[in-house]
Amino acid sequence: MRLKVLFLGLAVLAMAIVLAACGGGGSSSAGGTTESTEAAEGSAGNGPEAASAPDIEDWPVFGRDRDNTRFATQDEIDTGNVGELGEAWSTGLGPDQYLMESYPLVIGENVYVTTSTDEVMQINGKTGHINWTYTPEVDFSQSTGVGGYGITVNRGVAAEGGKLFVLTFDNKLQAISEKTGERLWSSQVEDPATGAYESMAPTAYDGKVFVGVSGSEDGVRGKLSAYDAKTGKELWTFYTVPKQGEKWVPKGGGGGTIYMPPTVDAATGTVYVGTGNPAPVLVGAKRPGKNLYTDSILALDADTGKLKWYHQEQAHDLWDYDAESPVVLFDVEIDGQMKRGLAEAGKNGLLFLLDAETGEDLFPPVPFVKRAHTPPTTKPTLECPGPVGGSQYSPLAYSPETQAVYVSGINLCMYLKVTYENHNGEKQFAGDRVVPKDTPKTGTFTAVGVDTGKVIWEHSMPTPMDGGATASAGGLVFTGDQQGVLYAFDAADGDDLWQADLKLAFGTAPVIYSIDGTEYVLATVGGAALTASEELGEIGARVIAFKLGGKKLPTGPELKG
Amino acid sequence: MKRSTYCLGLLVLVLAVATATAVAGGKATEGWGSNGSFIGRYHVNVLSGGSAGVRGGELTMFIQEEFPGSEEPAGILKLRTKTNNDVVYLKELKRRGHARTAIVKGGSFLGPTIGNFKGTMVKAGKIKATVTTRGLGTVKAVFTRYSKKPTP
Repeated sequence: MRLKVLFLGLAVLAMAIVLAACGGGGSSSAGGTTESTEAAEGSAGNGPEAASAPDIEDWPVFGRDRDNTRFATQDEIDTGNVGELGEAWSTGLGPDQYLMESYPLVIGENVYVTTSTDEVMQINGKTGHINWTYTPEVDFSQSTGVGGYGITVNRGVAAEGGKLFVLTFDNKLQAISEKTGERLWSSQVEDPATGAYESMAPTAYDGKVFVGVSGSEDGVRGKLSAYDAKTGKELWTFYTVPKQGEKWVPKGGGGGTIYMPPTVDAATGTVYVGTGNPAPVLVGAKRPGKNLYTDSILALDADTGKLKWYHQEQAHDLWDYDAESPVVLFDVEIDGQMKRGLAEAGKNGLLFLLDAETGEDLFPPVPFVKRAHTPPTTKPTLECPGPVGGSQYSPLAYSPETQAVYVSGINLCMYLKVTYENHNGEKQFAGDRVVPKDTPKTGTFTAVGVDTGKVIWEHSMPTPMDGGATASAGGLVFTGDQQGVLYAFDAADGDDLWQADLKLAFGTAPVIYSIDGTEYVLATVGGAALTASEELGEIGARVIAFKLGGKKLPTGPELKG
Repeated sequence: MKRSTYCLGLLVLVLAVATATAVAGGKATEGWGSNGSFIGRYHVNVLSGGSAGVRGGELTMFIQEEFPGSEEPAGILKLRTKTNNDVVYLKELKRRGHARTAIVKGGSFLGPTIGNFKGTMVKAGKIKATVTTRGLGTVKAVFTRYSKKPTP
């Protein structure tokens, strides 16, 4: 009995680590800039021979530009003066808000951020004042969510044509006024009784809103749908796996769900999206074959939803190795030929660099964390990465100046054991996942050349890295860790140039914007669902802006290398 | 006759003291009692909104018994202020007589402990309670069950 309690305790510890696994069209506000919309729609290439990244002041879509690069063209803050970066303002997001996986948008002078409980806030980008809050009615009681039992996160809004689009935990796509926060329409995108829930930010483009559903661990059937941005009417749906009982999907099984916003290539009318694991998760014998299209990058026609190509990162997955993080597009010269490229960091600990036109590898996949796994059995087997993944939902950044993508990694091996039982509210995990006692939880932050497929530099980080990265024309790349330390590295060589200890864990990457000629770096902090444990020292969810000459904050620990 | 009355009175007194001691000082029992008495979904009628001005909400109770460190939450409590949906999690359910208590977790059911739930079960499906959290202060409310099914 004591052993059982001990085992359960270990399982709980494991669950504290696993909770996030399974979690736009540019537009200007009334006072916004025309450049924002044009730049976001332009999908300019970012390679050395192509046009440089869009020269805009705000951050109107999830990854700032259509290619989802998270590369800010501002260079006021650079490698020479980043040491002068300090706090400009700091705003709390409400009582008892403890998670923050929201990636804000900035349109004109306003920041749009969501909370883990689906509120949308318009915040003045210069002062931090909350102008309005949209508070939807949400049913949080369904017995699923991140890691089971209704743990809720919200990864942000999309914007187009004066509207903001938000997905609520109980599977509603809602359009609200960008100016006032008034609700315009609401559409149910999936029945919560299926176990499906929402955690992703949608993507808005050309009058359509692209939406997936989450919940592979419950056997939810994955899909990507397009909705009419004016009316909320469904236009098309692409299912990522067959129905239950058909082909490889057993009764109660499914998977291939989606956790992050799709990336749209406006030039080719292609939607790129990554999919999650098959279910039942640990019991492969019940789902023979490759289990298409789970753990895959999909390229779909934006107008029809028709599949153009797929690239499966993990065939017949037995470890919960989703292709979860959002896709980044870039232009690159390889062997004298210009290529449209695509990057995605898998939960299996490999960075994939693909030809965006065909889905074929540009280079062999690049490992960025420890990898050593074997098929799980009824005896505990140590698996690296653990089911929390080598990289979770964490967005990459891409700098056209360094021709590198920046990858957030998690070094956390876990024991997997097939039990055929359901735990933690997840109907189709079919096993246990346990963090070995006294195992250090660490991370990596890695720069990989998209023109070589080689690691340029890498840092061992003191904690798992969840939030992702943001690069800038100032030669910098920003990322934050679970201790709450925000780092600025030299994008070219990885030099640790600046730190600020915010004391609130990072579950997101910063955004960068300028107002009246002042460049701001905006951090949203409060922790990923994965980090929501007693181990965190301080709790809360905040939005904190930095500018040159702002209030100095303490630094974090010295990095080892 | 007088002696027997005296003995009977003494016996009643001893039993009463023993019962009171057991109730007041005895160890609380895990769980909130039988499934039928509390599992389900509740409306929240706010009597006192606390420092954040709670206006309403909903409580969903899932399971009968819990233990420290268990993998599951016992309940999800949404409390609505003017501008926020606050979602907290009830764990480590205990009962003693009509008293019902739990700890309150923030962020997730494995998150930090941010407060407590102390209530009285007036009858099956009806609990009058005080919920105290770091962010909301002390909220007093009556929880009235409207469905015995915890899921929609």
